Amino acid sequence: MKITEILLPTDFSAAADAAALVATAMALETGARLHVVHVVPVATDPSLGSEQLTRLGRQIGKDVTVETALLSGRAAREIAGYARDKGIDLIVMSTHGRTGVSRALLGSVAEAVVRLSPCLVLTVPMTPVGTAAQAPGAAQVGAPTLPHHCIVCAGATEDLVCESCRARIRSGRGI
Amino acid sequence: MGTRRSQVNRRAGARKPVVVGLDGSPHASRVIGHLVRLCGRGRAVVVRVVEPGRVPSLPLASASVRAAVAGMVRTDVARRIRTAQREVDAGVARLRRAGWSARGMVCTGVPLPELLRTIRRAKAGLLALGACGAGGAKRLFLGSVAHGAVNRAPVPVLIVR
Repeated sequence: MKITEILLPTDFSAAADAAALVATAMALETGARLHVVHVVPVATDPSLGSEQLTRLGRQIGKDVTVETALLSGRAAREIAGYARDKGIDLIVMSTHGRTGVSRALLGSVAEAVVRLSPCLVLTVPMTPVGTAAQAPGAAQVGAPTLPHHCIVCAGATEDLVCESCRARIRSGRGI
Repeated sequence: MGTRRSQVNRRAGARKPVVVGLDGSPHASRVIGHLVRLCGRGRAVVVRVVEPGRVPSLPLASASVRAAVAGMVRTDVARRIRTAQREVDAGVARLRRAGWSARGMVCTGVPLPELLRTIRRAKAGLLALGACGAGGAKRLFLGSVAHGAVNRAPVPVLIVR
């Protein structure tokens, strides 16, 4: 089986940037077409995601053949469905490395994709700067991440929960 | 683009080794084939972790019965280690035929911690594993080792179905 179609699901986070580097390197090496996909939840304005997706597609498209798609629905199910429809050979996606409470609350899209995917899946962990992982074809893949993350939104913060999430919880709007 | 591709190929020579986790399943046996197609050539450590046998507690049985049971458990573990060694040797031979520099390893213990330890010791850059589940209802399930590796491995993980 030759790798001709690679799928890169992205949420535009730092971890997803690391996966993008790996996916681009693998597409370069195998000559495969890269499908960059972003999934927005139902009843969400897709315009912001659309802009970011176009920008990312243009950025990666300098080196490899890129196809972008904006999907709507539940992330893991949409990604697995897209992979099945387009005959994807390899999915390259990031893992945020959440454990404990944050994982129980937010779940793991990568894990669900691995469960549902019809093809090979390469998960790229969110690694701290300086201990960057090296993937096949990629020289140095290091996610430009900050040392601490909010356990609710995984955004950068020095505390356990970031200011915006804390304010939202205090105001009774939930997480 | 040509320059970029040659840069990537040059880097490939300096790749970190790949840890290949085998478990005797058909998924795991496909891992090596996919790895060869995906990465071309490189270095690999082929690992099979055999879970240690536990002698059941038999407080009311006589010493001779306990000794017989312990002997059966030891024989079973030895048989599983021999099978694991054969699988690892076959994997290493297949990788070497494809031009890889590969070595095999059979160890006893709990699979996920052993695999993570191997990654650290080998300073590996990738972990390749088979996912459990052959299709149908099983498709929804992911082996506990693959599941743990996705969440806990410090390196990229390639899951093969």
